[in-house]
Amino acid sequence: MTFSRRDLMERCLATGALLLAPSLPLGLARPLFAADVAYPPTPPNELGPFYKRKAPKTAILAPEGAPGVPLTVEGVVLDTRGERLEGAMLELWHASSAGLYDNEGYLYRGVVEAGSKGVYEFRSVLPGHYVGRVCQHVHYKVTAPGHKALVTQLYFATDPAFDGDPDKNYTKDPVLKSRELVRPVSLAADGAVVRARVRFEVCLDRA
Amino acid sequence: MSRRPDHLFQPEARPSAGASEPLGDSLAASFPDGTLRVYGPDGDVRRSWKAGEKGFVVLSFSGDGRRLVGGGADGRVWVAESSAGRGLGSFPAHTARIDALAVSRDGSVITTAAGSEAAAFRSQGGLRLFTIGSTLSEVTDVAVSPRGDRAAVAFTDVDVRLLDAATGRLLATISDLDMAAFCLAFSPDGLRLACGCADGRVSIREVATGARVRNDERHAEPVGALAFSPDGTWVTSVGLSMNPATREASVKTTSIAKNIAVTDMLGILPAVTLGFSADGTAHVASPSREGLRVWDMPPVRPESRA
Repeated sequence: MTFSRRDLMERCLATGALLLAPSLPLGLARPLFAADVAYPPTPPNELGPFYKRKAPKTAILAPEGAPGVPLTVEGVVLDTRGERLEGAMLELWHASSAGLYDNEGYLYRGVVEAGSKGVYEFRSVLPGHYVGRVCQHVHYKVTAPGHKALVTQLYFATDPAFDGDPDKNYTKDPVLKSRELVRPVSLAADGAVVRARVRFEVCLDRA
Repeated sequence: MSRRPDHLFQPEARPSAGASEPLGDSLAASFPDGTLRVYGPDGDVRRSWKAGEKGFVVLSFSGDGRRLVGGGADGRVWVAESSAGRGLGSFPAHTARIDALAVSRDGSVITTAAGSEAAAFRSQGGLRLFTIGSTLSEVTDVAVSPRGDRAAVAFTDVDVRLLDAATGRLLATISDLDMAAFCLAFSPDGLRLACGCADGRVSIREVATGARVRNDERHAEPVGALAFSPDGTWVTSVGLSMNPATREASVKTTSIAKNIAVTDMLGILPAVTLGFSADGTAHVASPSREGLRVWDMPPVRPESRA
């Protein structure tokens, strides 16, 4: 079994090592535009009970001054042929850093449209541990014309639930069926504040 | 009624599931060793029998209280005669754990949910009537009308589907809720459906069209259980606190005609089952770490009746 650079990074990051460099676009490590390359669709994951319609179109999910580790998630929406899906819509929702969903309003909820070349980004705080779930997670519902809708969740390799080894421990959460959904977290010290950055590519099946 | 608010039954083991008799005063509990017990209002054990090797994960009475139906972690449904305290049989319903089930008034039709699919069955022999599934969402609850002719299925994608229970034909879709319905209940005449939602709303709908009957009532927490009164003029709902720090929830009883909250009880632990006794007093119950907790609703004041 080989031990890749990616494995090493994830394990370092999962144990809380601080990266002072910008995050590496791990999801873009493979050629995106080679016509003969098939891209596996992002594994689906449960929609969960707290999906809410009519979320506002915003890339800033957390209210100003919200407690928690500031989080930026960026990525590309593409399809299984590698075509980037400009205009794809991403509905996003997650618990607060205290592990609570806002079911009365729309805090920690938003809709983001993928821009040029399918690039998307949103800002929030790292979710807390919601009661009844083992892992921190962000819900995604992604739609694009001509493609099958995708419902999935993003997980964080730094989650204490993984005990520093997401490869071994991701099955601790019975909802989490795919290791691919656990993404490395780049932590950057910004003065007294530690910020988290995650890259998560989203690949849709064609309809 | 001799129960009092926050009455605690203390059986010898923690129940794995509990149920309130819809129009009676019994409570049922399933225990991890497979024992089923039916309790009277004072915690007296009325009947006890062995219903398998393991406890059920969900439990429900038929509307007339004569049948008690359990759903297992193995996807099987078990049917028992509650009044006699004996099992009648079981059948496979799903390949995964049963998350929800409901039983018609006479116990002849059962609806179940597991993961992303729901189904309806004849209780005698387990004949499958229909299966409905989703690739993008999960089922949160199911209900069956008292006559067993209509079924309702709530999904996490927020839609509630109303179906002909015999054929699975889609009759109407309630698609104007904002968040998923966590619990569903048909009125005694089968013409209305109550939806208790994740955002705390209790929405009453016409079964034929899915249209709202009244403005939505609102809890501060997701709704964990609800039931119509025996005459169908009131609906009682229970909040389900998601805050582990407080664990407090609320119970509301509202008049459907007047669209007013009549009673409001705060500070209870989250409850998962709800029923009305024959005198119209609502009771809620929850299997908890300590046992089976039961609360009586304060009686509705006569002057506030619709």
